[in-house]
Amino acid sequence: MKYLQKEKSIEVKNLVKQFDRKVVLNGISFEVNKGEIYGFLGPNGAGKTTLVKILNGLIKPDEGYVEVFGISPVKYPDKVHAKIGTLTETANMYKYLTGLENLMFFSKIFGMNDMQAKERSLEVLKMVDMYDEKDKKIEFYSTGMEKRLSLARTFLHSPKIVILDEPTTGLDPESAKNINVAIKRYAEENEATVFLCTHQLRYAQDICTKYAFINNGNIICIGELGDIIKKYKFDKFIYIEAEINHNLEEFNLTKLNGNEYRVIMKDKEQVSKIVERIVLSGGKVYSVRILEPSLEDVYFKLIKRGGAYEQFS
Amino acid sequence: MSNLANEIVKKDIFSVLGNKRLICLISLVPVILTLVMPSILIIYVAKSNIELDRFYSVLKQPIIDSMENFTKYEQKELIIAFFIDNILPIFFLLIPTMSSSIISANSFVGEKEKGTLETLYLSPIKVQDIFIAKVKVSIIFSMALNIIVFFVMCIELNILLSVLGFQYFVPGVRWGILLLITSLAITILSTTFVIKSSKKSETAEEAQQSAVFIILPIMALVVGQFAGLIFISDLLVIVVSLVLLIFSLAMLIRASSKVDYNC
Repeated sequence: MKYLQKEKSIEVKNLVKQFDRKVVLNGISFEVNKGEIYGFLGPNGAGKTTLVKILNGLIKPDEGYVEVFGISPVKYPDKVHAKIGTLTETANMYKYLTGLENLMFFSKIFGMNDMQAKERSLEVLKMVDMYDEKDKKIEFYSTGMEKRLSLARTFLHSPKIVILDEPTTGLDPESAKNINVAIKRYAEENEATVFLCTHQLRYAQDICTKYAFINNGNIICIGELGDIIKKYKFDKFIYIEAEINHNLEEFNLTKLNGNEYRVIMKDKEQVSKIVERIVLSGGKVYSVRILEPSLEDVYFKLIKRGGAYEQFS
Repeated sequence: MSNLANEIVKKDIFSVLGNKRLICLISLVPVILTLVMPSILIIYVAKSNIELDRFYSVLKQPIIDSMENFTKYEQKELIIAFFIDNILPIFFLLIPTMSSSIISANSFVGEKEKGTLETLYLSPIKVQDIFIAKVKVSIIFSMALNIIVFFVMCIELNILLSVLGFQYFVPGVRWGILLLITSLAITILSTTFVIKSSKKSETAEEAQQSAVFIILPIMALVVGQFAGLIFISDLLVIVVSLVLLIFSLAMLIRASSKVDYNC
């Protein structure tokens, strides 16, 4: 059997960073493999932005080891920047220039000539659905438009790794969804790795393939959502929409809205027993769903628990 | 400096040229110092009954001794010549100090305030090259402003002197040294101070204050000239200018080697 070693895009080992006396990153370690859309999730102040800056070489770690595509961002930040695209909350574009002018400037910074810069700028504007706003100055853009333009800037030089720090924060649901769609499409079309830092879990769940949870500078757990749920034995739920005529205390059903009920699932047999009991007691069953815990459920339970880190590969 | 960083130079030049407020700010003082003030002084001297003995304490001894041999016209010419040869040149040290501190504060700390410096940091350009690109913009603008203002001043003064019947002003070697070497050295020093202080500065205005270390000795020179305390020969101007230029370049190289992403 041929063993294929996954190609690493990002490798972090025992990373420590302290500001004054506060430990922001407490010896964290993880790897991001090529092609993953990796969700690095944690509340505000968990250390996500500090990590993004270290990956970009803007901050030096106090201890530990970090490589992006096999290059140290501490020693060669400019070489790393040539290979990755980064979007942060605080990296803005020039308000007095139009969307197109901004992208053309940054294209030239990445080594494109005038013609290539214009061509590529128009291409990425279409990717993020900002083509119609290209001739407007940034000062007249909404927050959502600015974020989409920043995303376009991130894609300009077709990087194989895209690092995104809170790309959907402050956006309305529609704008956030558009950003997510653009990220996913870029990752698929370019076989790119995405490293997504966010505390907005519902958007992360839409696109991420693997997760790491961080809180107070410590990684709580790493893995794919299904593996985390299995390992930590998170409950599945049975949702039943039914008219129930008799008391079904033995099943511990919790009434939700209207005719909806919920119960923790023990096994598959339980589903047929509940349905049978409702029907035989004269009730009506309209729908039955089995739902796994969402990313939010898992995240909040683990962050609260602050349990020991385990990795699932 | 990498070729990619030249895009930053071009962008910043267009940014300054397109910023009317900034252009007004950096042009106002030079216009007042080199066009308005000299014109007022020349017209005043021409139209008033001023005599050399009122400048007694300001002038060199040989002139004072033979003062009574000058006609009123010659006395007025001497007063005007003193101002043009000894006071005006110092203004051409103030102008690049002021303009370079404004431009470099705007282009470095101003970008830091607006969050665009971080975006530049995420590009494949070394932070040292970004720093040098910003210094280049400051030097280009300050030197260009100084030289343009000088030529405008020469034309304006000579028209005025001609109309009032005085001798033309022909700039000597000292002016060339001042405009090309001394002001370049001052510009580099002022820019380096401002950008170095950008680490601690929260705003562009705060960063500009660090150029005060260069303005103070220049102001002392102005006061010294008026008080007759300082007499600077051409040889001294050349030597001091070259030493200052070497010193400023050394400061710039040292500053650029220490620059990091925390600036």
